[in-house]
Amino acid sequence: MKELENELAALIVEALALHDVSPGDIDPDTPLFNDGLGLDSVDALELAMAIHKKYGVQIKADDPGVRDTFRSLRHLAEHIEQRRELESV
Amino acid sequence: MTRSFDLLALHRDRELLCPQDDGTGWLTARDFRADVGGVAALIDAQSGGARAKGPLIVAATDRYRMLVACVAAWSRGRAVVLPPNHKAGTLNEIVQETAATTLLTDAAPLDGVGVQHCIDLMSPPTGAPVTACTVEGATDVLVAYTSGTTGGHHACRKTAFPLFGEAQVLVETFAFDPHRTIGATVPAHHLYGLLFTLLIPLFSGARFIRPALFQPADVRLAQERYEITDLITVPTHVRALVSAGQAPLTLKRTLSSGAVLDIEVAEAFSAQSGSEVIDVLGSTESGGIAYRRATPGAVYVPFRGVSVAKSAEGQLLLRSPFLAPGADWQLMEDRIELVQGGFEHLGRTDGVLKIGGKRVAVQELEARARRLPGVSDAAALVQASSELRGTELWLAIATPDPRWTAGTLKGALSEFFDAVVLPRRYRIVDELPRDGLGKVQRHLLERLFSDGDTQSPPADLTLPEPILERGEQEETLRSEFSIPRNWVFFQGHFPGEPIMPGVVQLSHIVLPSIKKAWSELHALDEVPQLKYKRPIRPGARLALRARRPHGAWQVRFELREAGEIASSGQLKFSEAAAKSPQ
Repeated sequence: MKELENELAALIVEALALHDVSPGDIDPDTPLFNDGLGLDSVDALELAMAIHKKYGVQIKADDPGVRDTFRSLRHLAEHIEQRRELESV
Repeated sequence: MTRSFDLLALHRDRELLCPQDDGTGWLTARDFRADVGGVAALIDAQSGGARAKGPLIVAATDRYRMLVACVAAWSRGRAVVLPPNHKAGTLNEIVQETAATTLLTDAAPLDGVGVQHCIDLMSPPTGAPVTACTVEGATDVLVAYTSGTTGGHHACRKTAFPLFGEAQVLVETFAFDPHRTIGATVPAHHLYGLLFTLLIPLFSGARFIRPALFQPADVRLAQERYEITDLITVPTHVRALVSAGQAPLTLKRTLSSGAVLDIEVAEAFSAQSGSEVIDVLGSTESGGIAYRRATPGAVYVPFRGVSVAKSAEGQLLLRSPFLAPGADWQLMEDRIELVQGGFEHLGRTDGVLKIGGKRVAVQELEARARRLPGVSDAAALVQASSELRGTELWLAIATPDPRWTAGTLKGALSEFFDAVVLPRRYRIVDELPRDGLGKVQRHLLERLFSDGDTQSPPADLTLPEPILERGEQEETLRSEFSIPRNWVFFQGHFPGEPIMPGVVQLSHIVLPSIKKAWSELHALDEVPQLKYKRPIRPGARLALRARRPHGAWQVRFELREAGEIASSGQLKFSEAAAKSPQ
């Protein structure tokens, strides 16, 4: 899981071109949006696209659980892990 | 246009013009005509006495010497080129562009400027006073440059009619006369400064103070000493005077141009100084368009001869004698609403962006940031962004207040703006790189962002655990990571041009990654081969690949950025050191 979190941190920095943030700066429990890392709705869309491209996991913006999925790096990693397990069954 | 202008009509005898060099007394019209004669004689000497036609570059910092040089040039039928700054690179470009062969300057010899002749304005010989200087309306008289807020500096050419005609209209509109004394926080080499601090005196007999009063304290001192009646300034300087509590006392009038003046700031300035504040709308290309008293609800009134209309899209349409003669209606980048007696200015069209479907006015964002407690200045940079977003904003603020960080700024601004339009990058500095006109040139603002984050402490690079693949003959190590923008190794290497030092690529990226994968490879013995192909800059996303034949003590590596090799090499590790107890 730690490895996936690191990978996702790097993906966030790269996909969202966060110039002043390095992957190591992202705390796994800090909120990604609003007052945490400060990502916005366009970032959410871009991040969902990048995750789909890299992990084949779809995160729909209109999914009721989307706010929870993107709550923190840890939640995002857990979500992707679960979905990948589901799909590999 | 067949009208002609007599530039010396008013200045024949003992009228006072401006303070002497040492500030003890006043230079008179007589001194002025003698100095013009002296410089004109030098111009004649350089051009072999013939009536040469090419433009003359005037790079003077002193207002009086600049006026002398300009009138001398105009008396010889020559146009004047006013460079936007006096740097050798800029001057050389202008020499190329205008084919000028002569430079008139009051500065120390300008090193590295490739111009044929240089005329020293500091000590012109005593020449026969120039008694008349009549210029026909259609004569080319000026090449001025825009301030470069949207990119580079652009040349703007003027004939006598729009330039001197506008000066006369300004004199009439604002009732300038010999009882007025003009001081300025802006230099005279942009159109605004030239018109308001040199040509208005020339056509009205008003006196002027020579240096640009850059510091708030300078304005106060000059005001007390010379009893300035009119201050020529720009919104940034008005703001600086207000916040320094240095608004000059007993000033009669303040004229501001270059950007729209914030009414709240203007009122605070008025309250401190007792001065009437007038906001002038205009640009280098268009000349003056309109003016208003900077009070709530005041509308812009077009200058005499200027016609305004509103386009279907709500933009300002301008027909002005200060544009090229006979020019038709011109579409400006200002959004306006026509009202009784004039128009209201709603902002610039080029400053309104759509980000993620939401509109944001750059000026409004900057104004909001400036009103945050402890923030003295703010400037936003419009940058191309991802395909989805299209455009994004970056914001630089000047403040000594440690409470402001990227996070707190974003939080404070989010009370006024949608999250999508908020700036995505922030820089917090002591002072913004504003020029003499109070404008921030785009490339200087960009440099603030490219130098790395100097405000936050240097970051460390956390290398991820490398991935190992076992092949038939060798093992391959793969690792991907981003280089922090404010990595300590970029500091001083090199100032303004941060590049990762070659040895650091080995010591802090390649070797630690190898050691993470193969713990026995910790003692580097020899580097048989090493190549650095491309510089690695802050924020680079790198991919490391290293291959080690099974059981070997040698590793080949490649460090790539976006598929291109940045560096590669071969490393030999010590078998003995690995096996000896540490």
